[in-house]
Amino acid sequence: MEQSSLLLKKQLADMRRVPVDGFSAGLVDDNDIYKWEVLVIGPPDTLYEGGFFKAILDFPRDYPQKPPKMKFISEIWHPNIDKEGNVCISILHDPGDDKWGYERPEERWLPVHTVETILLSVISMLTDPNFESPANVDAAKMQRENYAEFKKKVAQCVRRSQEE
Amino acid sequence: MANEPQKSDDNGQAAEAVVTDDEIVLQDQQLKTIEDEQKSVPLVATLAPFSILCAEYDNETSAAFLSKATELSEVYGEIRYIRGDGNCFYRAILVGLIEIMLKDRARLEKFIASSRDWTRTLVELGFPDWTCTDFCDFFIEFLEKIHSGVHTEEAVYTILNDDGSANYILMFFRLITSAFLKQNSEEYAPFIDEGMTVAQYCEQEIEPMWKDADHLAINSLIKAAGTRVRIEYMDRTAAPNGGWHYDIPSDDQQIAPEITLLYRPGHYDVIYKKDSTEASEIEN
Repeated sequence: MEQSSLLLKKQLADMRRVPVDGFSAGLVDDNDIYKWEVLVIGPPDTLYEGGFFKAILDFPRDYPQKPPKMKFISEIWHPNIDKEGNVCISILHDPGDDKWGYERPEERWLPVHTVETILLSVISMLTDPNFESPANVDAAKMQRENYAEFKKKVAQCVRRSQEE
Repeated sequence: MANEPQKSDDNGQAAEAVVTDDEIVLQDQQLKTIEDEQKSVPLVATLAPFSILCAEYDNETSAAFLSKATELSEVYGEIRYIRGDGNCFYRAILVGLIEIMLKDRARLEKFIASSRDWTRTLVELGFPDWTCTDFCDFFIEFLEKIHSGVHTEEAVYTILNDDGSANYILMFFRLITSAFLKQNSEEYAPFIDEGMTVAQYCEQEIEPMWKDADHLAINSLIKAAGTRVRIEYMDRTAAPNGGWHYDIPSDDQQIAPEITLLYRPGHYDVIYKKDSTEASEIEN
């Protein structure tokens, strides 16, 4: 069996035993350890508070040398999440990947990172969007130029996520 | 043709992001091509006669390299190529050590014990407990299976050539390199660019996979692993008789190095002296 699948099994068991605040994790399909479904609870005192956002974590076979990809399947309006739901934060980028030259290199993916590290970065992203490198340019622009409209749009997503 | 400038103007205005989707796709393709090229070479090749290195060069286009390779071929009999994927220095040391341990049981036992010590040290230094111990446990288990005979020599090379397992083991080497630097941060801090701490340097240069080893990494890993290494330098500079080499650690020139690496710009392979291979032929 591949080492990555053993590590992921251990990690999943660990997350179930000691849950990280604000998240729950499980498998999309019990036979595929490389695809996780996570539920991200909107952090308190942010516009996303009260939301239950579903996302998929897609791990490569060479995890943890390379990071997983994370994609929200619940609609979520945020400058660092593109319109397809892909999360664009530096910790999910491989260090060899120089096309995102704007980031501080120490924020890149390291093999010692865990799913927990990723999820904590996602919480920090929801609390503190990074305007310098928006994945959703419209959301970034709206947040800057028309905050009332931005708030309304996020509130809509929060409401919809509660109904899912 | 006449329409084109206007078209590209429109595109320029529409694209607010610095990097366009097309550029990202192109860069992804280029990265993939580089990765495929790297992967066409095994992680750890089988032993080859040193003459294979001389055959890489010719008198017309690479005379300096050819003459050095020829000089080295008088001393060295074999070479083991290592894949050039940014991990080559770490992997070359890993392979060199495993080869020693396959022949020397006492050394293997000592290394298992020191790997256990490293596991504790890593946690004490604040590395995330269970991811980093996972790399350590995997490596120790690998060594124990060599010790108990579960892993034959053939199996060892199969594992060293399996991307998943081999890179998992390699992370242990990156971690102890980083830990050694952190333990000796006072000594090494002056060599790190201003404005960066030893910890930041390690996170940026040592702990990520596929990052080349620089001089600090080389020194730290050799000392952390408790080995003695000679590096033969093969570049275009004129070298006095027999080429350049450095022994690390350099403080004790009396003891012969136990691993020899060949350095060519940006890359390391493992090389073997002639007499030692003749000796092993007699043994067999």
